[in-house]
Amino acid sequence: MAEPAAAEERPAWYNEPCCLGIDEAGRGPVLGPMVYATAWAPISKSKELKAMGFADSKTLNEEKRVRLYEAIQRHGGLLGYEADVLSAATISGKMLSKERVSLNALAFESTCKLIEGVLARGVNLAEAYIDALGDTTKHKERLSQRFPGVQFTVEAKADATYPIVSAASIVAKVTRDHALRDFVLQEAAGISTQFGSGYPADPETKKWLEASIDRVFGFPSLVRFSWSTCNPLLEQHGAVVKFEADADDAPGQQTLNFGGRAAGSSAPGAAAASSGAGRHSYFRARKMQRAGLAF
Amino acid sequence: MQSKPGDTTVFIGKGLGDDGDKHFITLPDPKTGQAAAYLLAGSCLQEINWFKQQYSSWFIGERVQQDGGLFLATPVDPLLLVLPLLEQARAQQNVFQDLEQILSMAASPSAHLLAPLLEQGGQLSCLCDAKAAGGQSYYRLNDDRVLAWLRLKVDQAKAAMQASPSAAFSGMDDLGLTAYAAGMLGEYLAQHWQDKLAAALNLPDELPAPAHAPPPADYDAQSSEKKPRVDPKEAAKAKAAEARQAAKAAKLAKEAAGMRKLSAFFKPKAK
Repeated sequence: MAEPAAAEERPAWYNEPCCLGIDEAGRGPVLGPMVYATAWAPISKSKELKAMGFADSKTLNEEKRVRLYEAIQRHGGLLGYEADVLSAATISGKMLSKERVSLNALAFESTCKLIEGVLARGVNLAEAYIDALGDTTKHKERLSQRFPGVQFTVEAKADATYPIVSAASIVAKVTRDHALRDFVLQEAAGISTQFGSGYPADPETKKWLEASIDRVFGFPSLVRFSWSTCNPLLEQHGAVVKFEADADDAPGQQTLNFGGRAAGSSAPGAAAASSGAGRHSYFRARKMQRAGLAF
Repeated sequence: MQSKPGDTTVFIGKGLGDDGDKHFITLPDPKTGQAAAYLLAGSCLQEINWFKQQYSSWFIGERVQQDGGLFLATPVDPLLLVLPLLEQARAQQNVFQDLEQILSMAASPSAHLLAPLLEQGGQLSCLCDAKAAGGQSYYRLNDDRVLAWLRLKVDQAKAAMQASPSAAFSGMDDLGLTAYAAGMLGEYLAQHWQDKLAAALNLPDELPAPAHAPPPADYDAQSSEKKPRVDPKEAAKAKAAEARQAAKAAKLAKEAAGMRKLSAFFKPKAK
């Protein structure tokens, strides 16, 4: 029976038992996106995978990473990969929103999203290897609950142990590097791109942060302003904002004579706010004041 | 207005973008009798309102104007302005008079500019008995006509409010809406006309509590109405009661919503 052609051609090896690895890049920096990535391959090809040279990503220099990334891209017959890019704006927005979403929660969501993506492609997923920090047991439990039928291994530094995780790690890092390199600062030209490593402890990064602040609009969209580094900088360099909703009911609400001339006080132009006092409720509700002798 | 040369004022009104004549004219306010400025533009008489929120400024072109206030000119029926003048004219001499004489009651150098507006379409016949002689028209106020005209205006206002998509009027029952429209018209009427109108409409002195609370105005009125409103004038009681209920409902609705301080949305939660 002819199956309807998928948008992408689905390789036959998806039917074999497969494993996937998940790793991230850019969790700690204050600049740029955090990228979660997954790579998957048939379990039967583990040896070939290892032979490609995947290892602890920290031992790989940029050049090696790029070469391996290119190798991954060419190996449609052996490897699949996918990345989930969480922009600085998304991270900041979610972490500071009314229903605060923690970085860990974002990480978990991204992990699940990637796994769901792999399953949706029709991959026969048997094993999953996740690089994680913190409570790995709890993490494994949650994932196992969410995806029954998949054998999870959740470890710190999994990218050093499992080649498939190393592959994922490379995808994540290179994706993030590209994102940073290609980031077009929509904000004013004149902000340099020399922002150092992007880590909040890096003095060059800190200097760049300070230089990039706009008094009114704050940081450029490259910056994760939910990071604790950012708040003191904003307080120091940003303009103070007074919100009307927080002000007490205007103590200076003048009772005005009908006709719009405030008794004994300055003309409408200088008053704090208009008042519809003395008029029908239609005007009062809309704070429409008669400008009697203003003209 | 104490503005300096070079200040910009944001002003919205009918016909201001056109080439036609625009004048500020001074006329006695029909309710208080005090001189007030009106705008004549776009063949339309307009009253001048001022609106300003406390924290607001304007972006004008490439610059920022700190004063975020805005003047809004809204059309007003010139017959409302001419009504007190007609009364004065009749009080002086209970005879038919021409428009020029009537407008002179305003004791304002610019009042005559109203004449073209009033001469159109036999408008003054809404309020007056009219006679023509020697190519000139002469008018004398007729109280019955005035009352009929006022009732018509209330009906028109009610119809407009009912047809309006705005939520402000949807909760009112007929009595409430009538009181509201009559009250609004009362902004432009001397007390004795307000009383006559209220009587003609059978408006009770005190409005019963409405079936549902009248909804707050569309514009999210920040609660500055906590102080009891002192209405020094002997306004129509129906209007006052209605207004108090509306404000109370608005305030209750706002408190019930459990509004948070805006700054709470921006502070990171204490870890």
